Formats: sequence, C-alpha cells, structure tokens
Amino acid sequence: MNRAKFRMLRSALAVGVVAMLATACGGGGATSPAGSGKGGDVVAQAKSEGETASKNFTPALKDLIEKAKAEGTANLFVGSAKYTADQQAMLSQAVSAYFGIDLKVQTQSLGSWPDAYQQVSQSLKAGATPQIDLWVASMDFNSQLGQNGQAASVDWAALGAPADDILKVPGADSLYIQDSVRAIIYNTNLVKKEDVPKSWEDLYDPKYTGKIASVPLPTMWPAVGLATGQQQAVDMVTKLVKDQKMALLPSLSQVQQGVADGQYSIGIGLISEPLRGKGAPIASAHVKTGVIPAGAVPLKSAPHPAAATLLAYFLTQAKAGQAAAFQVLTWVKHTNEGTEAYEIANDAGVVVAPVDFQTTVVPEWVPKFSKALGLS
Amino acid sequence: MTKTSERQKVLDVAPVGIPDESGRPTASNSSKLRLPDFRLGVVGFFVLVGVALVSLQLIVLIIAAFNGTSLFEGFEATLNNFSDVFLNPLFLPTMGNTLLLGAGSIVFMLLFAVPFAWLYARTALRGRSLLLVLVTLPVAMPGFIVAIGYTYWLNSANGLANLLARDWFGIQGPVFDVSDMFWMVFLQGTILSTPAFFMLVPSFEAMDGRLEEAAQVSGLSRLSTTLHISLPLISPAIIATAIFYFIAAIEMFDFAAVLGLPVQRFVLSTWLYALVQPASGAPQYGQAAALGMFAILIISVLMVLYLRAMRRAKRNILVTGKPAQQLRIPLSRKAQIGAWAFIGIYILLTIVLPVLSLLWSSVLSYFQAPSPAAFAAMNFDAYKQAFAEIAPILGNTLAVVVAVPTVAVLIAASTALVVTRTKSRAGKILDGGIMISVAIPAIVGTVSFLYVGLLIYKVVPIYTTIWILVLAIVARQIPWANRTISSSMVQIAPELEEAASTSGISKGRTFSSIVIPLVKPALMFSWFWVALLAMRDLTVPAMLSTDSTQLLSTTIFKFSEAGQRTLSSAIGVILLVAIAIVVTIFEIVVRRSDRQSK
Repeated sequence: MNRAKFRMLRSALAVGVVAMLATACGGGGATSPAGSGKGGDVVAQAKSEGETASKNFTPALKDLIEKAKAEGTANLFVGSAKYTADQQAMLSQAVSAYFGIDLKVQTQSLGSWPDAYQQVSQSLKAGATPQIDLWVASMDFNSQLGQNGQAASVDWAALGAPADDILKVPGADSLYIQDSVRAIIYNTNLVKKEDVPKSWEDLYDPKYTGKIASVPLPTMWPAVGLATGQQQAVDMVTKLVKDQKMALLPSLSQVQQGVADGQYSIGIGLISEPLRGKGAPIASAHVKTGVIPAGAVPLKSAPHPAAATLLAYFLTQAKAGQAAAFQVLTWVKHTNEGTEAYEIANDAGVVVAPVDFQTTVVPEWVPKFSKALGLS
Repeated sequence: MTKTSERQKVLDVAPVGIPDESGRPTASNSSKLRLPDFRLGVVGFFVLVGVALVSLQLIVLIIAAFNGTSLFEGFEATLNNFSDVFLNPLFLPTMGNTLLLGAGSIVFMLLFAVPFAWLYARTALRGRSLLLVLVTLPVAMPGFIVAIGYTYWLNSANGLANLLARDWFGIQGPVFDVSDMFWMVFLQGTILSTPAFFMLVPSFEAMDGRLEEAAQVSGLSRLSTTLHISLPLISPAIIATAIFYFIAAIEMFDFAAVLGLPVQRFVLSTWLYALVQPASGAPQYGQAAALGMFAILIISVLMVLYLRAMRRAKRNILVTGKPAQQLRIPLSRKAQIGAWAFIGIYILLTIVLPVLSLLWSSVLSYFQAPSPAAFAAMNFDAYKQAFAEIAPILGNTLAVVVAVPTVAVLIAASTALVVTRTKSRAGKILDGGIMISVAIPAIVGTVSFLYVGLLIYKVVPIYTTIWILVLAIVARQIPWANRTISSSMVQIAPELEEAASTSGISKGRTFSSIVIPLVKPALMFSWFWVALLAMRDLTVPAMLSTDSTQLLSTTIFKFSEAGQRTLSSAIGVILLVAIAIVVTIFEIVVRRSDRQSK
C-alpha cells in the first residue's frame, strides 16, 4: 500500500472512530445499583442456618470443611448458562456464611452437557487439569465419568446426606441436586389464556407455525417421551421441525430469552424461571412431562475436590443452599414447594426418569430424535 | 525518499565493513563480518515459527482426515471420514447453501463496492473523502454483533421492522423474516463491501480515462463506452476481488451461526462447527478434517483463479497507467443526490440499524417495541454489570490485541523478507505454503491447535492459557499480514541492498536499517489491521477459550448464548468503543511517526 493510500485510509479510520464513539456512547448514562435484597437474605439465612446446623455436623463433614478451607475455591460446572460476577459472589458469600469459612465459588460455563462432557473427558484423557471441580449433569454423563474412572468417590452418607438424595451409579455416586423439567413455556402477551397449550398435541396448531423454539439436543427429548411415549415423542419432534418450523436455538437459556422477548410464542425444554421472576411476560404451561434428575459429583483430578464436595453438600442439603441454587442458578427440584416445577408436578403430573433411564433408554432413542431434529 | 539519499543514509549509519583504499575490508571490519549475523538469526527464528504454525495446521488436518480413531489413541489409516462426509445427507444441502451464500454474498458485495469504488475513483462526486470515511465505518462492527442486531429488527414474530410495517402500513403478516437465507446472504454481502471497496479503488484509479474519452469523441454513447471500454478494462480486477471474497464468504462463521443455526440451515463453516462441537456424542474431528481438506481443494482452485485474475488486472493497469484525476466524470445534481442516497442506505444498513438495536436491547430487561412503557422501563443496570464482567477479562483481551499483531507482523515481515528479497526456491515454497494456509477453514485450523495443545499438555501446559489462543489467531492472520507487507517490500528496488552489500554491510543489518524502515507504513497498517481482527475474532476464541481465557468477543457470545441478552448487548456496545480506542491509538501513533519523519 503506498503512503498516500495509507494516509487516506487512516484519516478515514480516524473520523470513523469519532463517529463510532459518538454512536456507541450515545446510550451511556447513569447506572443504578445492581443486586437485590434477595442475595442478602440468602446469605443471612445461610449464616443463621449454618450456626444451628454446625452442632450436628458429622466428623466427616467437619474434616471436609477444614480441607475445603485450605483449598479456598470451588469451580462449579453450570452447563451453557453464564453467571455474572455478582451472582457468583452471592453463591460464595452464602456457602462461606453457612460453614464459617472463606470459600470462593466460580461458575464455569462449558456448554451443554454433551458438549461439556466431551471437553472434560478429552482434557482428562490428555492429563490436563480440569477447569471444573464439581460436575453437575444427568446421570448418563455421571455414569460415563464413573466408568472411565474420572469421577471422585465420595461417601455422601458419611457427610450426612440421606439415602434418597444419593443417586447411585458405579464409580460416580452423585448428590441429587436439581431436576431438568422438560416443560412448555409461553409468552403471556402473545398466547391468550384460552390458547395456553394443555397437551403436547396443542403445539401442532397452525397458529404456532414458526413461533416455537427449542434446542438441538436429542438427549432432551426422551424425557418428554416419558410422558407421551417415546415413538409418539419422535413423531411429535418430526412434526414440530417439519410442519411447525420449530427453531433450534443454541441453548435453553436462549429459548427462554427468545420467548420472553416475544421472538417466539412457545418454548420447549424448561420452565420460565428466572425471567418470570424478573417481570418478563413468560409462564409455564401445565402439561404432563418428564423430569430428569441431575447429580453433582466432584471430578477425580479436580484441583479442589474437598471444596467441590462441600459445595455440593451445601446446595443440596442446606435450605439456604437450595435457596441460593434456585435464586442464582435457577436449579430446582419438582418437590420444592412454591416453585413452578412443583406447580407443574401437582397440576399436570411429571414422570421422573429412573437413574438408569439415561443409560438404558436414552441411547436407544437419541439417534431417532437426532434424525427427527435434522441433525443426522 | 530517493534512492540516492537512502543509499547515503545507509553509508552514514552503517560504516562497518567498508573496504579500504586497496579494496579489501579492514581487519576490524572483516572480523565483524565473520560474526554470526544476529539480525538474520531473528528473521530466521520468526520464519521458523511461521512455518511451524502453518504446517502444524496442515499436518494435523491430513493426519486427522485419514485417521479412523482419536489422535490421542493412535492412528488407524482409513478413508471412512471422507465417505462419512460425502454420503452424509447434509452434504449436498450444505454445499448448496454454501455455494448460494458465497455467490450471493459476492453479488451484494459488488452491488455496493463497485459503485462506491467507481464514485470515489472515477467521478467528481462532491464530498468524496466523506464517502471514504463512511465506507470505512463498518470495519469497526464485528459480524456477529451486526447479525444479533438484525435479529431484533427482522425476526418474524416481533422484529421492529415488522412491527413498523404493521403499525404504519397495516400489514398483519411478517414482511421480514431474518431466518430467510436471503438475509444471511444480503447482510454478509454488505459487510464484505468495505474490504472489497479498498481492493477495487486502486484498480479504478489506475484505469486510463483517455480510452473512455477517445471512445466518446468517436461517437460512442456513455452506455456503450461503459460496456465496451470501461468494463472490459476493470473486469479482471472485479473478478479477482469476487474470487478472493468468495473464499472469505464461505468461511465466515458469524452470520451463518447467528442466523442459520437456529433454523438448522448449515453452510460449510457451521457444519464444521457442528462436527467438532456436536449436540450429542463425540466430536467428529476426522470428518471435520476430511471436510476441511475438501474445502482446501476447492479454495485452492479458487486461489489459482484469483492469482491469474490479479495478474491480468495488473497487466491492464501497467499498460495504461495514467492519473485519472483530470478525467473524472462529472455528475449532474440529480446524480449527486442519487449517489449520496445510495451511500446513505449502505450506512443505514451496516451501521445505524445494528447499533441502534444493540443500544435499545442493552437498556431493556426483555425486548419491547418502542413505546412509552418501554421508555419507562429503560435502565442502565446492564452497563454496571458489564463493566464488572469485563474487568477480569480485560487482561486477556489486551494480551491478545497486543501479542497477536506483534507476533503476526514479525512473522509476516520475516517471511516477506525471504520471499521478496531472495530469489531462492525456499522463498517460493514458503510463499506457496503461506498462500495455501488461507484455504484452511478457521474452525479446522483451530482444531489443530486444540489437538496439539492437549497432546503436549504434560510437557508444555499451554492448553489452558491465553497463549494457545494467541498462537491460533496468529496462524490465521499470517497470510493476510504477509500479503500486505510483501506487496510493499516488492516495490523496493534491489539496488539499495546491492549498494549496502558492496559496502560490506551484513544482510541482517541491511534488512533492519534499509528494508524495514521503508516498509514501516505497511508494517504499522498490518499491525493495526491484525489487532482489529484479533479483537473482533470469534471463530478461534469460541472454540479454544475456557472460562479463564475469555475475551470480550467470547463473553458477548457466551452471555448471548446463555440468554442474557441485555448484558451481552451492553458488552457489545463496550466492545465497539474498545475497537474505536484501538483505532484512535493507531491514528495517534501514525501521526507522531509522520511528524518525526518530516
């Protein structure tokens, strides 16, 4: 490039800068303080609950607290969700207040469960230190980690966890931490009350053509099949993709945001929290569906195994931990009263997948759902 | 600077090795000549690094394509990856979409770039310099931000354009649907117009206007002159630009990912992405590599066509080179207005609409059409959060924006020295190798770094650091920096080096004291350009970055994927400002450098 042209270009770029600055700064202005009273409530709740509970901590738990204190940090896998620094700080403060130690919680967004499993498994095979300490996913992934010897062996009962909360699979016993409720959500401005879907078949209505969104995750749909029958679920997905032109967005969170924004009238695969709580025009339809329990298990070569174990205990066994999991991570069980998942379970009913469901039924049906979604 | 004064400068600054009166080098100087040439060593080092980065991608690609198992588990020779790709039901539709995307993008690109280049270089358009500024603006807009911005305007359910069509014209059904293939093609084409404009302007400027003048004097109409004289003269340059940006168009990920993936409309780049990051099951690196090799084959053919077209374009220019300044075509008042309206439409499409939607989206918790209620709901909370999110990743972004252009320019300058200043066979092979690397799809090239990063992790734990990102982005940018610097170096007459050599000056010193200062503008331009591209890049960081090596671009993408639209929009606005700051710094540095050289 000769000098004249070079000068010409950079002069052009310089003026461009001014224009860009003017345009980009146009929306700036005063900011209002972020954060909510809810965060403070959870921390206060954790502090008072922890003081009482500490009297009954088992020796194994006390030992674990000491080790976790030394480690200082726990990296929590949160799927494709991404949480802000404020939200992570709230989790850290809550768990620290409960156990009376300083524990920093960092959420790690690696992508969907299948995607993240591949990344983690590959890194572990290569001998790399995993980025996460505490793995949270449905039991088929935990089971695969267990089979590969990549999950830590934890005696959850010795820590005080009840037997019902321990999801047992070889090599990767996990703490029951949340449910994936494969529900239908809708935009309350776009779907009239009388039109709210009451069954899965209602989604075939032509008025929803091009207005339904979900994710390209074939592993998600067998859970819906628990309620409708697997073959019926495959047929339904085929119709939704082909006839209803269902959009497949990169993540469930994006589906939720898309419905809240009104880009889609209907979303499939999750409940409407946390956006409903923030005032978005969004709600869950009460239609019978399947629920996949997810378990938490530390990784074997995790840099902070004790802190990860302690965090799993807090999020599942302490009421303040469950509250923090709900408020920050939107992790909920269908048995938690006052939650949307609980309402759906009570009104329409849910079918909870057995622990071996995803290792026996899911692999058989995933290729068919994959084809129905147009992925293969 | 003239050659004579340059030669004098060389003699002034580099008196070592000057022969004595008898013609022999002095004792002290001859001993200096025998010392290892440190500067040449530095050049050699960076050439080796460049060769390693480029060949690494090719080698891993070939091994993976013919490997029936994971690279971590060994090697089993097979052709199954190729058959799996070619027999996949997605292959033909994907190739069809890719072809449509590439060809369509080029049509829209030329639709804007050719008239802009013609208006700028060949007409007496008023405010030509402003045209240059306006056409440059879209460079600052990352493609995925433009694409996200357009989803708010054109989505079929409540896109602002559809709402306006309903409110203003009473049209009930959606007029626009951003998921239509047309929009992917159109938007990508308009964004490519800016670089295409810069590629075309020199050719338009170099056209000999006297031929057109002679044709008109001979009685040919303006239309006939354009069709029979102007177009044939400029067509090789247009064809070369079209081929070059066709390659870029079929590789671009941003628009295809944001607009195509939700409706499962695959093109080459998004299919490669789906293969290496599948929704379920193990990543299909072998198939991705096989598809990558197929892409390289196609792109290599296009590169050969491009080089031929470039040679033809240069021939036309060389034969008839003549300043076109006095021969600018006058434009009537109506034509002036029409031209500026056309430019205005382009700026509206590429800058105003996406920036407006980004700003609007960043101040609302959930998207709403403009209304009194929406204005009442506006808040700037996302900006406070955005700054909190950006703080920890600023170091990573800064490292990438400084390290990538620095390393890429050092490598590109070193390889350009070898290619342009030596007539060796190695130089030609090096040039060919760098050109071929353009054809490696970014996603496939990035997978090579992923593989190698994991393979060497126990020895060099680079995999979880920002430096693997730096190396992978550098590898992508070497060819572009190399082209810019090479084309500048090739213009330097060899006599200067010959004179330095006769004076006993080492080659390394000749390079550093003569060649490098003469191509300083090209080096600075390349540095700036690569810094800008590194800051905007999403393809490489999206695949290699971890939570501890996030950049501004990946943070926006991740928050957007995680459904935190308001926050991702706010960070998007901040990224635009950051890009503007990089451009400003560049401008200041160049101004200062210009003042010093005067």
